[in-house]
Amino acid sequence: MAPSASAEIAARGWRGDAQATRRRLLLSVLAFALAAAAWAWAAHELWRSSVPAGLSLTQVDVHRFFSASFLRRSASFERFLEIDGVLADLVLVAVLVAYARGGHRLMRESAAGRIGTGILLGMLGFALVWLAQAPFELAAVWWERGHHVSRQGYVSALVESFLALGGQFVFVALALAVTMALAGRMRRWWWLPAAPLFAALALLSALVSPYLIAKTHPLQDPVLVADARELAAREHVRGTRVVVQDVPRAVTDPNAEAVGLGPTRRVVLWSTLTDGRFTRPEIAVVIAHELGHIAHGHLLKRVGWLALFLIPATALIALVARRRGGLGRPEAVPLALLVLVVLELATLPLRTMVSRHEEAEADWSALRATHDPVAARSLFRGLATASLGDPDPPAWSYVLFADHPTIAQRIAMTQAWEVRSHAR
Amino acid sequence: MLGNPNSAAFNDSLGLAHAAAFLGWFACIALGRMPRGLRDSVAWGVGFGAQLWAYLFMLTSVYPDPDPGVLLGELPRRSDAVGMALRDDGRRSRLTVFFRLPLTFPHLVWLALWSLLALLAAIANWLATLATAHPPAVLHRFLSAYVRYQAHVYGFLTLTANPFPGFAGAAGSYDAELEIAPPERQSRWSVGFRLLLVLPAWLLAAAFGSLLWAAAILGWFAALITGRMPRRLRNPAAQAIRYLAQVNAYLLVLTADYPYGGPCAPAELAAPVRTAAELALG
Repeated sequence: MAPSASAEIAARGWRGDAQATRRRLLLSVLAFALAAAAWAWAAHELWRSSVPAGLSLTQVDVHRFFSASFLRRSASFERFLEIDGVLADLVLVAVLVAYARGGHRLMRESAAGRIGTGILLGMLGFALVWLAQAPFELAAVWWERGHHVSRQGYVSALVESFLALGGQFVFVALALAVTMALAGRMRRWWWLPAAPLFAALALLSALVSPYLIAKTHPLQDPVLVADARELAAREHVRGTRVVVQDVPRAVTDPNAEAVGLGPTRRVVLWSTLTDGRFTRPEIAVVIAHELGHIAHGHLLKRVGWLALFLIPATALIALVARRRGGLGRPEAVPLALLVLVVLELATLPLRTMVSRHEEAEADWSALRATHDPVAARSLFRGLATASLGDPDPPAWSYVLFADHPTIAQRIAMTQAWEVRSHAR
Repeated sequence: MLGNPNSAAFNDSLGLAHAAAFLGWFACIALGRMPRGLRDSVAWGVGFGAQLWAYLFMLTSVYPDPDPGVLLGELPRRSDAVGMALRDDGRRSRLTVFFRLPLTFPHLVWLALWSLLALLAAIANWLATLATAHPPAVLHRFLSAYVRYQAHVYGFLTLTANPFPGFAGAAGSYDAELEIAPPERQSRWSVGFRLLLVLPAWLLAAAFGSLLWAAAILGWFAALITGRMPRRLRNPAAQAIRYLAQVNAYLLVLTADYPYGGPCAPAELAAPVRTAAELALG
């Protein structure tokens, strides 16, 4: 063959390769754009709220509701805990960075094969994190005890969290077993089935979680039972059970939660809420708030948000883990753990924002069901007083840590509801 | 006594001696002789108690040693249907020692799930062996893996062995390994009355169980401080795991061999267990 002909064939081949590369790139960009659009649409749908769009919350002067000494005390109380939390997070990242660099050496402690060794490395990562964070946890216990917010002892705090680590390890083991099995089979594309699979597991966990809450009994006060039934009817969630959980004596702050899905859904009131510190109308507001979560499908939405987080997160983990041969190999686990935790911390402001959005909707729902803004205001004051919560924290603290609207915002919402109901 | 770290082991070794003596009384009445296993267990417990009191009363400066190999001298080498092979240099990672209990949680959950299936398989195995006098190979394999896995998990939890075990109970995969003989013909009478026959072994198993936990708790502190599991605690723990596995295997109709109630010499693992790091390196 003449040299010019072979050069022409080579050039044609190169042009063909370049065209194929361009086509692949175009398809990839198109697929990415479609996925991003679907992601944005799903986020928009999950963000929908029944709180009126034009609702304007006025700035509440918290001094009208709380004494100056309480405001000083609560601000100092919360700042310490938040700074303690930030330091604990910094240590967490530092420990995981060190672990990502040298954690693979602990593979010699395993005789468990590929997946079992990955599970061991994952658990040891969390174990090191526990060790590094224990001083901060003890500092928080010391601070809370000093402010009479908690009666928990130091030893019991440590022992409980040590044993809780065992429960956490069970979930770590399950998650890593699933992930590494998928990664072993599907190589770099494991994250595609992993994200929906984990969302499905979260759904299952939400479904069965009511059965895992210990020491609950049905609400016994017949007046409250009647209130709960009436509120459930008003919020179109008839048949939702309301139970009381006997929390340990060391716990003093009042709380409640909505748990379960469909037939397992229920409202759980902590016994600290029904110990006489709160009036019947105030407890009714709490019940209505939790029923509001159920009525607006917040538990299901949380699974949806988790899925939206998991899709890019698992893709990124898969990408980074390739530096250690992919997540199918145990030595990639420490690095994957670091990426996951950094992603969790980086998305903390987004997650608290979503949580505040849902809590605001539940507050609004409670106001619509109870028609009792006075009781709601009184409840919010009582909650802040009992847990020494800062009613109006600084912006950085709000963005990073506030998973509920501030007490000032919640009071403002009661006022906004009053204005709207009078206007009608 | 309360301040003595060996007091728990002392109580448990005496508990073992009492249980073995109690069973030995019946055996002597029935057979006209004391079975060697029970006799050795009594001697083991009494011997350790004597060492402990002698040390306490300053008759000797030699620290008490509950290792049956030291107390009784040469241990019998046996070829039971279920035996234990141990390969361990005593080294322990302090990190995995400190978190040993939570690290075992996933295994305990998995073991609990496996136990449900094992119960069904055991019933099927019992019925099949009663009918044919021979455990079906597939059930024997499944239940052997279950018994082996249980021994691996307890070996890890009680610090009898160091590495984190796998989840499949694979043969030859662990440092404290059970060797289970292939299925053999069993007497239908022995199979039919297995639940009754296992009762004496259960009594002794309870005593071995207490000994195991005492060794594990003391060993946890020792390994955390020194980075090593003392031989004098590891060996009694290994004896206990071996006996408990023999009882389980007998109960699950894997074998007709009655559990040997005394200490015996563990076999050496033929080939070193390869760690995950070695496996990854090919």
